[in-house]
Amino acid sequence: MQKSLPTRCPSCDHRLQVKRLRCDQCETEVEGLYPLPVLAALSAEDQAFICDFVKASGSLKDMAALMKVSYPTVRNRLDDVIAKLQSPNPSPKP
Amino acid sequence: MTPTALPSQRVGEFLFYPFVRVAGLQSLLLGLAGIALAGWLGFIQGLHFDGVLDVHVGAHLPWWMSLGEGLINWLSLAALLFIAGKIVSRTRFRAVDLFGTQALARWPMLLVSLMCLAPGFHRYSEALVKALLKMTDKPGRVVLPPINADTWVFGVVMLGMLSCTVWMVALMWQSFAHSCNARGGKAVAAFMVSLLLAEVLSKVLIVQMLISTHP
Repeated sequence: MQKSLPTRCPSCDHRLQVKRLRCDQCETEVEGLYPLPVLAALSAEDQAFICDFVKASGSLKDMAALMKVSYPTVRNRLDDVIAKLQSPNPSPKP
Repeated sequence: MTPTALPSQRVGEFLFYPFVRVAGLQSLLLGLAGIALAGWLGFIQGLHFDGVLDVHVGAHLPWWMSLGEGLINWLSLAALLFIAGKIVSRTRFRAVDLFGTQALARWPMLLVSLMCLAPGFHRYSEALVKALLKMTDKPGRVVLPPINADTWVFGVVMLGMLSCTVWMVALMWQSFAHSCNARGGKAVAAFMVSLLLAEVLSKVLIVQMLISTHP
């Protein structure tokens, strides 16, 4: 089973932060309070979209061909992701 | 939509959200082909698309005028929606997507011109026009054509025309909303104002086209 990274508080739905990190090699643990990278706060679908977009060298035309949709469909999807990234407390919902 | 989408979802997408998959040059070529074919069918049966939302039976005109009506209707609305999109949209959008999908949004009019080929439709239309002209000559007495098979054909075609017009407006809205990523009340208002202005503009341009060739 592939576990997904929880990014939202199940109680208040606010964005979660990282409190503890651990090295599996030497078992060193670091404790603190680190904000999640902004991309990690996006949904898995949005992250996959961004990965594909970067792999396509940022070409919306290539993305449209890859996703088998029209150019404005990709453009609108990108606009949605940009809006989530610009939001101070983005929702991971696709 | 995923590849596992239900057939009904695929049909729904094809009918009402085709621009999710088709836009740009592809939609422009398909749309222009539809406008040309609808214009030619209109030419052979004296059918006129004399306004963005209008279909009327009338005199036979040269073929290029029938084509001109379709092009005027398409360009009037697409040009006004392009301006509206620049005002209400917060994203960059391509003109070819808006103009292409607007051309494709007119394809229900091709169905209308095919429906009007139904035997009896033009016969009943002519009888109805004659009856109405008589009524104008002698007010107070309405003698409608007798009810026969043509009446039912006429009724079914009129119902089909109305449905296709509503469907075309839905596609025109989808084209605008999708191509310009325009949402919300401002986008709806901009679309409605553009549609009304385009109806007036197209009428004026079509009348000018007729006057210029028949002074």
